[in-house]
Amino acid sequence: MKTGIAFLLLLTGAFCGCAAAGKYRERVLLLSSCDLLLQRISALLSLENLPTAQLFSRLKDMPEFSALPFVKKTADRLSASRDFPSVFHKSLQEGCGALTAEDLAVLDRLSDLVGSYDLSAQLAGIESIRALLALQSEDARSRAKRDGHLVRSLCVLGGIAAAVLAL
Amino acid sequence: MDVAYETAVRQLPPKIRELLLLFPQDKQQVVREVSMRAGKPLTLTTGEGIRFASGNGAFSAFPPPASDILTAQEIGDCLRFLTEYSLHSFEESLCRGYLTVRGGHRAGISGTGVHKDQSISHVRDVSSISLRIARQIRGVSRGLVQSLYGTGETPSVLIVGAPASGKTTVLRDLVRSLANGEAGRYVRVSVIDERGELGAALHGTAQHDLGVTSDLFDGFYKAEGMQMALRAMAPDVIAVDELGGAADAQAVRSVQNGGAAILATAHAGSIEGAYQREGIGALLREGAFDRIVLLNGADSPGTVRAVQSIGIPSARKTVFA
Repeated sequence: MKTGIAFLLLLTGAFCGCAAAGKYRERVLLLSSCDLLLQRISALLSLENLPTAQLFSRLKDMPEFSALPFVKKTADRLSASRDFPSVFHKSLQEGCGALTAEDLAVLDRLSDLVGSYDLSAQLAGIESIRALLALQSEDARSRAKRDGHLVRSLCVLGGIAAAVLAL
Repeated sequence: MDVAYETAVRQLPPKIRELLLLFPQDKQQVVREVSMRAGKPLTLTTGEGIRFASGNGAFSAFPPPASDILTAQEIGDCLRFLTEYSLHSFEESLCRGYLTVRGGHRAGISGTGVHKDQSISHVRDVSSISLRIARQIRGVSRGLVQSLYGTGETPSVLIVGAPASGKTTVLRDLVRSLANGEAGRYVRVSVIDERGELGAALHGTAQHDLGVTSDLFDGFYKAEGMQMALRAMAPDVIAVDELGGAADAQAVRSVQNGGAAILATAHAGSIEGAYQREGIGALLREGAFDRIVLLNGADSPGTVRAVQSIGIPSARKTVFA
């Protein structure tokens, strides 16, 4: 009985450690998807010159952005309102998984950019946001490596300690 | 509520939109154009002249207080709202000085032109926007359709009139009527819409009703558009607004050699005045047109003063109903 409980506590500790570390990894993946999103926006604007509502309607259907809920929300809201800055800002404010407030603030620069300037200015602005996002990605990777390992180790050790105490 | 007025002003930013929606229906119906200028008050072009919005649902003959002056930022916001935050999609038409918005309305713009390779590459610092409210009037050409096309023939027709006499409105309705079978059969009409006024296409979709069997060539220069329509769509009729000089006249000749009839408009205050115009006059003397329709002036827009047959009507097209 005690062995079973100890084993359970050990597993719980390991699971919590992995979940906590997973959040850091998730942020890295989401930021990578966001960079891909910006590249795709640039490409679609350059090649097809799509109106903003159609642009997001196209992006919504791409499976690579299914993990970015604000893309679908923006597309759905733009079918009713064409006020892109308000719509995109609101969609971002509703959160996106492990992205931090700082990450979302960088993405929010798109709300004042897309559709508000001529094409070349928008493309230049998107590159500028990508550069900022790259800094966030770098921060996310280093945190995943440093803090992710630390959190996982602490949780596993906590599980071991709890198991020992239970025994 | 005037539907055309409402669909136009609802595309403006909230502050301006709410001011304009204060007007009762009788006031809305007389507004032809809403003009917004940076550093100046909002003005309305009505049937009675220029008026100002007084803020309580009434027109004012005098400018409002200084606090109601529009700022450059507000003009920028207007442009972004009118383009549905898709300025990049409207760059080409902005270089031509106008954009077509949802509902078929047209917004003329002025600002600072940026030159590249001796042409305007884009417009920045837009300082004025004039939103012209489009009101498609269906049925204005009902009598004309029957008298011109009701016998089964498809003549080439020139509609002339003074500015603001309703030439474009009559032309648009004739196209709609022909392409909807109101002449007793469906007529294939290719519409060459150089200035975007006939179809008012937005992202490729005509905002005005041009009928079932019409094809819209939006933004094409008249001469090239007529040639392309003839080659591509085999139309019975090619409709074109505001025929001008020699190049347009030559295009008309080659189109007619290709077997299509022309339905066109031109500026002239009288039939005699049309004969004196370069290009148009030559076409009339050559018998390129079978009928000439003269409209009444701006005081009675869209009404016909006279229809004249020019020589013997050519049996270019006879369709058995």
